[in-house]
Amino acid sequence: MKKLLFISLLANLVLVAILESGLRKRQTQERAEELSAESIEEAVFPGVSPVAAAGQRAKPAHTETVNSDQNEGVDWRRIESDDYKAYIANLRAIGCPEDTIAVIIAADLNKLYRSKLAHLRPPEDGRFKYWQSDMRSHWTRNPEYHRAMQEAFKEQRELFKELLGMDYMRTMSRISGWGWEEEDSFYKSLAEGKREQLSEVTMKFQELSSEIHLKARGYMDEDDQKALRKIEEEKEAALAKILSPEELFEYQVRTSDTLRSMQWNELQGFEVNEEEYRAIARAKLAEQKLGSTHSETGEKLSSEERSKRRKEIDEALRAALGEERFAEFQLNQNYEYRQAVEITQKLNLDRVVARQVYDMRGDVQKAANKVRSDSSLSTEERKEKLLAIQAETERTITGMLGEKGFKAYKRHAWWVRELSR
Amino acid sequence: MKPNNFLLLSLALNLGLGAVAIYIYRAAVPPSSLSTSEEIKPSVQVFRQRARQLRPEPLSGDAAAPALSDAAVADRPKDWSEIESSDYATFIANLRAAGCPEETIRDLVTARVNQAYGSQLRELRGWNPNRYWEMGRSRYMDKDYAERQRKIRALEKEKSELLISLLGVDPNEQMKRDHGQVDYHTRNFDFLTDNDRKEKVRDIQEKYTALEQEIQRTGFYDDEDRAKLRELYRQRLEELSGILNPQELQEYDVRASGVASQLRHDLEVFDVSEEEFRRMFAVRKAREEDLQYPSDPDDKAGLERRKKAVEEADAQLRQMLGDERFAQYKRSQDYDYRQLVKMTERWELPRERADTVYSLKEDAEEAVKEVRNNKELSAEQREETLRKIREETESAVTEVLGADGFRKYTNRQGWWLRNLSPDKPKPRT
Repeated sequence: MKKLLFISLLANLVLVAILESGLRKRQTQERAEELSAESIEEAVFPGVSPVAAAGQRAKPAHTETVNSDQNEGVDWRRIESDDYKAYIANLRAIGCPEDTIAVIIAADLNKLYRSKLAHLRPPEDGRFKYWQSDMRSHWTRNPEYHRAMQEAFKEQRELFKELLGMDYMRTMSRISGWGWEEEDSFYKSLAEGKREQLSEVTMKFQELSSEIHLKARGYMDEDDQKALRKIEEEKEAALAKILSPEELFEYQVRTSDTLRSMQWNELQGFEVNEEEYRAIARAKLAEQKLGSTHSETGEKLSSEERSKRRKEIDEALRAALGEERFAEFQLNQNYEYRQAVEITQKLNLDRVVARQVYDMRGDVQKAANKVRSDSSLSTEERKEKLLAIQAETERTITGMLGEKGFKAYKRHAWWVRELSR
Repeated sequence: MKPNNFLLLSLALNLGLGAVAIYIYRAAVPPSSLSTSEEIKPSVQVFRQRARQLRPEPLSGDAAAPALSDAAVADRPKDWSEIESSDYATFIANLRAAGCPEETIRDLVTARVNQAYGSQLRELRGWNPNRYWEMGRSRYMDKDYAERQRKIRALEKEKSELLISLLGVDPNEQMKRDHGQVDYHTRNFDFLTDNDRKEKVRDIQEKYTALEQEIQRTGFYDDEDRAKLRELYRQRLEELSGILNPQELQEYDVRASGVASQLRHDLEVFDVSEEEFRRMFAVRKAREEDLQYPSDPDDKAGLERRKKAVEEADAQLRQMLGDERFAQYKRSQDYDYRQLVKMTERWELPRERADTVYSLKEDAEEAVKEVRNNKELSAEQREETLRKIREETESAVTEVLGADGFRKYTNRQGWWLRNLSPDKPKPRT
């Protein structure tokens, strides 16, 4: 009995010691969190804290974590917490799926940052000033607001990652159903670590180029263009450290601005299959590199070297596309030809007509030049002959495209209008 | 006290102290499921607290929140699996039964509805990740374009209606407003207050937009197409007159018509008041047809008609704006001047610098014209005078923009300087 009493008394002493130490530790922790919270709040929301503005102290944080009580069921009041860590833990404890937690936290952060930016938003935003030009929208009028928005979004993404260990953009685009990466065979084939790095590099360089666009305020001068090209080159170098050359190419065929612009211009009206597109993309990207400086030596290629390599690129493309398709592709680089194709499409004419119109140009201009350089002709005779060539050309093209088509073609084809001049 | 009582008291103390120690320990240690939370910065706590303070409704964790009745407690879902439901209404009811704040319910339901429509909308917009080689313009401007646009509008409408039926509001629209985004269609009838008529106007507007897109889909359109577009707009106004009174119809016209849109574009660097815009709009609207360039560049009668219309409109605008403002207006219609204004804005220079450079351009071009028409000058004299004009002008522009500014300006917009007098031939190396 005495032995039991002794053990019990000893246990009491040990428990008191544990209690004292635990209480001291908790007080220190609370104070540290309070101090940290105050200083960080001021750093993150300088001068905009409604609590601080009212001269009040922030409410003590509810940091309690709970587990779902099988008897009482889910009580959201016990799940809610002022501490994201506890909030997330509580949601997990009731079995809430990670994507649903992500939605809740993302919505929370959205509101938080929206309120943070509210005081920066220009008052006219949200109201349509119909008498002002769209071109000089708030995007160019208020670069400060957009810069702040960009910074806030960056913070938001970082915080999201810190809380949930997930990439904000990827997660939200997947959950929203907008994300295409999840369905793309290339992205699906990449290891998770690589995808994460890829996302980080993409965001980093996107931020850098956004900054250039913001500074430019709708007018890109040559320094801006140079800076953008440099960013592109640096991005490619950074990507090359993460991706294999083949992976890098896969990434570029999907995301490159140069290739997207090519699709909307040089490839307009020229239907390509995947294989052809990849061959053209490879050539275009190689050609783009000819103008850039060497990443290590900083030197540019000489014009002779550039022209030699351009020939090599063309030859590789010719081999990939075949003679006929290569010729068609080359032809499609010409703006006037593309306009002629568009006209034939609108007027339901055979596409070959556009080719015939285009082919006429060389012969007609040769004939006109012969007349211009014929010193045996007087000025009047020369003019008369040139007018005759022009009239004949117009008649022929009208025969091919019809009157409506010819009028439309003439707007872009200056060579026809210049024949008699 | 007997030794037995001491033992009992000590054992009771053991239990009490043990319980308190466990409580303190549990409160101090984060839940095991958050093993990665050690790395989370303390700032996270502040953010969450602030986010909750932003809520329009009372915090459910607040002491002020009403206590739940026993029946309500009994109806609570036991865990998330009992909250989860593929039926939106059931999902909402389950969340409410768990005491979930309305705002969180809105966030969750909106995300689910957006997800349900997301992939359909993405496909209709032509984003197929595995067909990256088809992402060019033709993909967007193909024959199905109008039909796909119609489907997109129908789906967006259906989604919005679903959200309103579930939540009483469309949080997506609210979010757009909070971000300062005003939908192109909506802003055209911001003068209307009742939603019912807004909806009807929007339906009519979208119907005619689809018809117009069918004409504009291909890259070019001629006089015939333009006439069709004008006729469609006339029909649109006629249909709208069944919903809008004459004054409202005028408000719509000054916002949504092609004339208004062109005028807004033309006033890109010329600030006007709302009143001035409306008066300028009236002038242009009255001569809408004649002010357009003929689609055939050799249509002399069309060009003459346009010239006359511009002169008449200008006379009215001069009277309206006064000589000085009218001169500024005319200048602002020139593409080169607009670029100059944008350039000075980009370099954070005063607008006056753009005016000065533009005046130098006008003066130099005038001087060159006189020299070229001067029959008394020999070819050499003419060449020398033109070269001098160019040199002086270049030096004056450099003074206004600085050497670096001049270099960048001439590389991009310096064609007019080269037109004053040809470049000196470069010495052979």
